Formats: sequence, structure tokens, C-alpha cells
Amino acid sequence: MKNNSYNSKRSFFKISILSFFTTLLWKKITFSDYKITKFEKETGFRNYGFPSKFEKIFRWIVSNPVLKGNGVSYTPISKLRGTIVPNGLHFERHHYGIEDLNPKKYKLIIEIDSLNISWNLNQLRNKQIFSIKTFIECGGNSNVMYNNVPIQSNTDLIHGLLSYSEWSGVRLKDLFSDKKISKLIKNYQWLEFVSYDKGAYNISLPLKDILKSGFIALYQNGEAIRPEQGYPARLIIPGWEGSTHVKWLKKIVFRNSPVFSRNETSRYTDLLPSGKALQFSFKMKSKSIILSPSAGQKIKPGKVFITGLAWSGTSYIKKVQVSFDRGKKWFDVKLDENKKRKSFLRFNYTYNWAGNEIIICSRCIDGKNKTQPSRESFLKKMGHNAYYHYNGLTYWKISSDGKVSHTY
Amino acid sequence: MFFFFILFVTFFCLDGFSKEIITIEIDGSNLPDESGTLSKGKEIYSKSCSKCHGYSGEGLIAPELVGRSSLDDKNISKTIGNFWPYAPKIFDYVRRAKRNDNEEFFSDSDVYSITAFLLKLNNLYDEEVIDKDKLSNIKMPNRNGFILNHH
Repeated sequence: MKNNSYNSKRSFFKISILSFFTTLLWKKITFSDYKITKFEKETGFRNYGFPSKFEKIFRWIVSNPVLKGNGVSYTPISKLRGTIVPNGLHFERHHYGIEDLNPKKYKLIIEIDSLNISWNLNQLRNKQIFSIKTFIECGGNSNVMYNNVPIQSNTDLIHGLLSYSEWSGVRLKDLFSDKKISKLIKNYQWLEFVSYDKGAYNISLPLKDILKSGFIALYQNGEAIRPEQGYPARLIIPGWEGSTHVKWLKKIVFRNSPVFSRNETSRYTDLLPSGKALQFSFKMKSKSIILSPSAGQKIKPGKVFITGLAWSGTSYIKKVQVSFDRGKKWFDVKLDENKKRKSFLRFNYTYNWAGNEIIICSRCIDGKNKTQPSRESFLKKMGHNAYYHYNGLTYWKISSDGKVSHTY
Repeated sequence: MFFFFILFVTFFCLDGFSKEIITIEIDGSNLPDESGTLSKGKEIYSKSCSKCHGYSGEGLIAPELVGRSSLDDKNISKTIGNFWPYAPKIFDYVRRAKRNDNEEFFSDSDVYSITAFLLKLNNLYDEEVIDKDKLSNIKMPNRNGFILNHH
């Protein structure tokens, strides 16, 4: 069976190589390629603005070459600053392609007992709208960190299945306060969420937990969510892994047990060294990474402005530390917003680099006093076959010529 | 009349709304009453699946499907044979996610046939015909291999 595992790795590389060339082609495009209307030309305004034609910032597409619509696109996180990811750069993971549903025909259906209740999009948009800034991270983000050899690609392709937005929509608890539903809700423990996508993507989630914070998002950073993010409605559960944020939401079915779909058994479960797999690891653990300087970049001796992100799906970020000797000695990062209990933040640190070879990394300590583990201690617990939910450290080597590369 | 038929098809089929797919339960509830055969499964697999999953399910650009290696090995491959906990869910996934060469859903009978062949490749089924009862009664080796971890 060992041959099989090599095959799967080979196939991953095949896909990566193909997609890399695709991405190179995309990189030639500039925003000026978009057609400007006559009206815009005459008025000198744009109805919908684009970035400067001098800026080239795109998602990195890694797609399945024989199955259109299956694959991922990575957010160029190392090239962004601040925390909010622009809507057009939010990462994507599609299992069965992108839908662009007709809003006039859209219906969200609730199945509880023998009842079938539905709302159209206008009815949903006219309900009380709730907003929250939160991150979505794919359960498979950073999974190349399980590899035996540190992958030498850019940072975005290692950690870019992570994005942060303001999402607005209708809270599940408000939706379920409907008289007919609230009478029956106590009889159920699980909900199955089903998508309108081509594979009717489905996943089951524990009712009690998601009632606290789950909501049906209709807007992302103020505008209607885009087709690739699940237009016109998707599920958001702050801090939970990306696969639970069902896009193009069609149906919510009240149940007494999980559905045990492929994406909650064969995928998104963590196979441990014991041979048993952890199932339903919904909350993304606390994690941090340095985004600049990072793999693929080059720095000069002197003042180096270090910047990165720290986030947690289980708590809030209490402290971030950086190290310049692969974690022997740690330095606290001053957090501007540490009074507010942030679950996603950007950190900055200034370092005077003398030009010698160093290994830099960051770690976070969360509100439950859990310290982000080193890669070794993470792998000791989780083994090399877990594949998902990596939250160990990432180490960048700065060589004496200033080149930054990925190291373990 | 034909015009109205075309209009009807365009209206209901090209608006991005997928057909209704009923979830198959782990005990086989909701499985259709039809049946499939191993030989048909082999034929469909070779024609429509082997290009990506390999002739014997060994995995090419799509994941490996076949193998019974122990899950505590160092370099394991997670397959239907050693990882999937419930046989009826193979039917569920093939039916919702896979298409024939014309990008159409497989018929329920074809999905039964493909499921039987995948089980056969994993040495978990050896009869020519498969149906609701037979599929529901297959106990997968890794049925007890999961630890519930929801907080």
C-alpha cells in the first residue's frame, strides 16, 4: 500500500505544477483588462471600483485539472496588511464548483418533524441583521506542514486558506424562534445543512453549540456575498473550520444524529498515530504565523519590520511572542488591541537584523492559557497522518544573503 | 408545443438549482429499491472512474480508493477499505458527487453497481448482485475507528 501513498503525493504535485502554470498565466492579467462602460468613460467615474492597474494581487489557484470547479484558491495573505481580506481575495475551497443562484428563485428550507418551512431571500433580508468580524480557516490549511520535508513554496500556498471578513446575516436562534420551530426544537440534537451545489454538499453540526453563534450570512464586508462565497446565503459559525460554513445554503434538517457524510468521516477527521481518527474537530485551534519576512522574500540587514497574524477558534489571543533562534528565547509582542479580546489580530515587531543566519517564528498564547505548540510537539501528539487542523509553529530561515526560506 | 417544452427545460434546469438528493442514512434507510451488479460496476468504473482513480482504485490524480493497510502504519493511505465506516455512505457519496462522461448523474442502479465494484476491489463484497439489504448488511472494517471530538 505504500505505493498508493506515493501515488497520492505524486498526484498532488502534478496538480500543483499544472496549477502553478495556470497561476502564472493569470498573473499577466491586470485590472485594466476589465471593460469600462461608455457611461463610466464619459463621467470619469466607475460604478464599481477596482484596484490600481499597477497592482497585481491575485488568489493562487490550485485546481483539479480534470474536474472543473474542484480545488482551492489561496488568499495572498503575505501581501495583505491589516486584517480584513478584500472580498475578491477571500480564499475558496470548492468541492463541486461554484453556483450562481437566481435570487428570485432562492428558498431556504427548514425541515423539522413533518414540517417544511421556507423563506425566500427578501424575507431573509428583511429579518434582523446581525454582523460580526470573524475568520474562516479551512480545516486543511497548512497541511503541508505534516510533510517530512519543508515545502519550498511561498507563504500564501502554505497558509493562505485563511481569510477575515465582516459577515452579516440572520442568526440561527432568531430564525428558529419561529413559533412552529421553537415548539419542536427540544426534540433534536443535530442539524444537517445541505447546499444547492452540484453534489448537494452536506454536513451535520451539533444544534446546541451552533445555536450560540451560528448565523446565515447574506453580506460580506457590506455587499451581498459573492457567488464563490455561497451567494445568496451561507452558514457562518465563528471560529469553526471552513467545511462547516456551508455555501449556497439550501436546507436545514433537524435530526437526532449526525449524517456521517463523506466530509465528516473520510475527510476533515484527524487520523492519530493510534490508528483511531478524531471526528468533529470543529473549532480551529489557536495559531500564529509571521507573514513578512516569510518564504520567498528577501531582506536587507538593519531594521526589519516583522508582521503576522494570530487567531483562535477556541478562545481569544492573549499574547503573541516572536523568536529569532527557533524558539529558544521568546520576546513579547506589544499588542495594540490587547484590551479587547480579539480572536483574530495582526501583530507587528521591529527587529535589527545583523546579517547572520537566523530562524524566526511566532507563537500565540490564548485566553485558556494554551501556548501554540512547536511543530515537533504537535506531531508527537497528532502524528503525520492527521492531515487536517495543523496549529504548530512555522519556521522561516533567513540566510546570510537575506533570502527567506521555509525550514523545520 | 416544442417551444414551450424548451422554455420549461431552460427555466427549470439552467438556473443553478440542483436536483433533490436524499441523504442515505448509515443503516441504509433511504437507499432506493433498485439493484446493481458487479459486472456492470466494473464496466462503468473502467470507463468513467479509472482515468482519475486508477484502474484498480490505486489513485492517480484523484484519491486512492482501495487498500486495507493498517491505519497505524507510518505511511498510510486512507481508502474505502480501511477508513470508511459505513457501506451505505459509499452509495450516498457516489450518487451525489459523481457524474458520467456526459456530466449527468449516474442512475441509482449504476450507483449500486459502482458501489459493489468498489467494495469488491477492497475485498469486502463478492456477490454479483447488490441491493438495499445486501449493502446495508456490510460491516466496514473501520466502523469503530472514530473518536467523537466535538467540544
